[in-house]
Amino acid sequence: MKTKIMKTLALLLVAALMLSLVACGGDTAKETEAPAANSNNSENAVSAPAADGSRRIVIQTLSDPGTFTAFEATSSVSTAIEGAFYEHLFAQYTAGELTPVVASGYERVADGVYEITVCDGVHDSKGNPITVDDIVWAYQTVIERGKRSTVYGNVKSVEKIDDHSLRITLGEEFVGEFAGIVTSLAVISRASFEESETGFASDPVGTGPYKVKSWTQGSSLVLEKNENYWNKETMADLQPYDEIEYRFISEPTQVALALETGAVDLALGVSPQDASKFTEDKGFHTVTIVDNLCRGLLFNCHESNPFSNVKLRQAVCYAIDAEAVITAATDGVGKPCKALVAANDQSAYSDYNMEWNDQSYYDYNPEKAKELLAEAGYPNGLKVRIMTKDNPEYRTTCEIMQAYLAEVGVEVEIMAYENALYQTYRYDPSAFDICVMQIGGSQSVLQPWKWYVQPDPARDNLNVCMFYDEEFWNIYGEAAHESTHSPETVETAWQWMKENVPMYGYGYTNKYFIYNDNVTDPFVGPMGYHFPWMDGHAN
Amino acid sequence: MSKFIIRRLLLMIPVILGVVLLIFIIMSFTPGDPAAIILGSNATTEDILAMREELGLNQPLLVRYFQYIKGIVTEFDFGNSYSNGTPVRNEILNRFGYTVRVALISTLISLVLGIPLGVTAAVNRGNWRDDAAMTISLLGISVPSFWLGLMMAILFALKLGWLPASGVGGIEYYILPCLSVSFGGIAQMARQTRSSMLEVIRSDYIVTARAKGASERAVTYKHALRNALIPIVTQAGGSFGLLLGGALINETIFAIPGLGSYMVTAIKGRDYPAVQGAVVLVAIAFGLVMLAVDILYAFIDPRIRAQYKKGG
Repeated sequence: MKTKIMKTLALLLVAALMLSLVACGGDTAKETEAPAANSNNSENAVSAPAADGSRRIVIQTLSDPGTFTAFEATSSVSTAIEGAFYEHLFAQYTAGELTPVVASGYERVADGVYEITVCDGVHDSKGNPITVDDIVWAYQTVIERGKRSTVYGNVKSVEKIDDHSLRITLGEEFVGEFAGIVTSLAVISRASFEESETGFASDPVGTGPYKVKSWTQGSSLVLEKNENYWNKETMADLQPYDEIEYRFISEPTQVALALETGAVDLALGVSPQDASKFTEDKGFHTVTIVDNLCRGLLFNCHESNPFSNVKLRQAVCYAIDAEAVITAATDGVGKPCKALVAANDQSAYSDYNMEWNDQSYYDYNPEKAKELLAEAGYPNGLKVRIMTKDNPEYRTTCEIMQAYLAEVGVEVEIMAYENALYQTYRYDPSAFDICVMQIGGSQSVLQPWKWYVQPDPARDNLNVCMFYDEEFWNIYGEAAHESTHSPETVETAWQWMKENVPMYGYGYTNKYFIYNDNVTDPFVGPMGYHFPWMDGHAN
Repeated sequence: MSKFIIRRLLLMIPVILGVVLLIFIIMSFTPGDPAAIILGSNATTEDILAMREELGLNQPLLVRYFQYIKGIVTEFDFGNSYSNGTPVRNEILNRFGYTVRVALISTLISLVLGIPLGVTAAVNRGNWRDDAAMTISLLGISVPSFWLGLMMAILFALKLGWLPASGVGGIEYYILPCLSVSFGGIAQMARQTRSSMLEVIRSDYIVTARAKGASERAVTYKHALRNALIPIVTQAGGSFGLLLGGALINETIFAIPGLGSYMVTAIKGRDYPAVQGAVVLVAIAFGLVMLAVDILYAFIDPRIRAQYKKGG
């Protein structure tokens, strides 16, 4: 009997082993190859036509956008998708450059005052005409609702000049602010919006080259060519596909499987480990782009916290080997940054000073860290709490930092919270000492910096680093205001931030778009979003 | 019987009210501000305070509770989602369809394979068939369904190209998720069936049936299995009810837009109306499944049917 049991057991174990081997087996030699080079310079062509001549692309994204409502806060997923059916006054297809879309041009008539002319014959996919009144109404609505105040909070007024133009007046104008305002609000018809039962949350109607065909929430979204596209005669090449399908797949193994089986043509969520097996010889191509989120340490500079002491902040920065941290936490694809933005060049930030790359930015120096700790009054180290969002990259980051800081006598308690708790605690001066976080931006280095330094009137003017320094806010303001923005003022602001280090950028990373031979030349915008309606146009 | 059903349905009302109150209290005491999550990292405190006011979060808990109950009773309105502003009712009903499909198919697979496996083990107690069946069920309980799901996806989708690896569509999209979910169910069902059958086949009436010359097949399936069905039906009902809450991990792995993944996303985003709506729906569904199980008892066992009739 025992022998029979053993035989049965052995047979079943072999079966389980075989299933694993058959499922996981493969050409391991090929799997270790490096990711394919960017083939973005291939000839202009798009998805291969099907037998009936139609062209279709299936794109994987990590999550469902949830809503396409025009006046609420947006997510990165909805921003990447909605450009196919929502157009804006202008678009930014290249960093720092405004391309007219629904607008035909603009003029800066005074400090913070812009006059914009609107194209004739614009209508949405339902055929409702878009007038200047519609555009003014949309801006006034988004301002009134106040849910996108980080973009529109500084708009003083939006007025109709005549049937072809409108005027936007800003308060104190920050650099790059106008570009954000005219490239982010969907141009929609008031009549179509009022007909919608969901406020366009699930049935958006825009003026863009595509319209929503079907949406299975949580699973897929299918867009079809807008046959009624207002700009078809001049912009027909913005409709390279008959249909664009987005599939929402979050599990990394399934993302790789979907790409390998051809269930999707282009994937965004491929992990660095999986990316290496999608090589050119297997018919896959890779576009590597910089993720515009700069990873950083935000120090709690509240007067009640030990990190209000600048020497302590500097000690922590010197104690950490930023290159080792970002490399290990991102599977080798990350790089250390030199100026608290996710780039070490002017590709995304036109006012990035290339000389910063040659300057020291708290290069790893544990001896110096120990000296600074002693000067700060902590010769025997101290215990600190590092807070972060609970995801694998940040958890690994915190663990590596914990090890580095232990070497200089700083004991670290890691507090990894899910997003809801993290968003709550980051406003609480008693909740953390250091916060590992990320912040994005574009156009000007001052844009992401603003998030760290801007005083919050509802919290006694404390910024997210829990301090208010009028002198610094003036320095920042001089650099950030459009009228006084210059390399010199930017340099002054950066040197203050570098020396006082209320936040320290330790790195940024890359992300991959991997696609098969059905797609060539995918267009990736300056914020790292793939715009399929632009595929075939050289980046 | 009808009185029994009506009484059970009426009893569900206080249960549902209790569930809603409980979930209200739990969500209220869970740290994490929905307004801060909706507005994201760039929001100022001023924005967050305005958003809390707009969402009605500054009202007392009981006021919100009674407003919520009133909305459900008078308009079958579960409120609007904080995250996208759309009615929760539509969203959960759409997603519930996918969850019911997965739960139903998985439970059927568990029953169709698990019961014969358990019967085989019981009637061959002590020989190699029993050992083989129990080893299979041990594996079924031990192997994590997400691992099995991924392995099957790699084998059947990538290597063989027979089935889609993820997503929803025709029946072919449900084969892999349902198989991976049901593997554990098959094992549980087999063990439960074996245990119940072993109790029954020692009974006097089974000996009598054999003595009367009934075939072994008739003894096993007509006399023994029918009498062993009560705990099996209870087990199946419980498993089905649990699956109606969503097979979260499998929904994530196979990109099925079911209720489980919806609830988890809602909990993470502190989307109170979405969480409450989903929990209420699951509570109602679970209550109805348990009622169906009780009614099934009456069909299986005449003694219970008589009790129901007697009790009104």
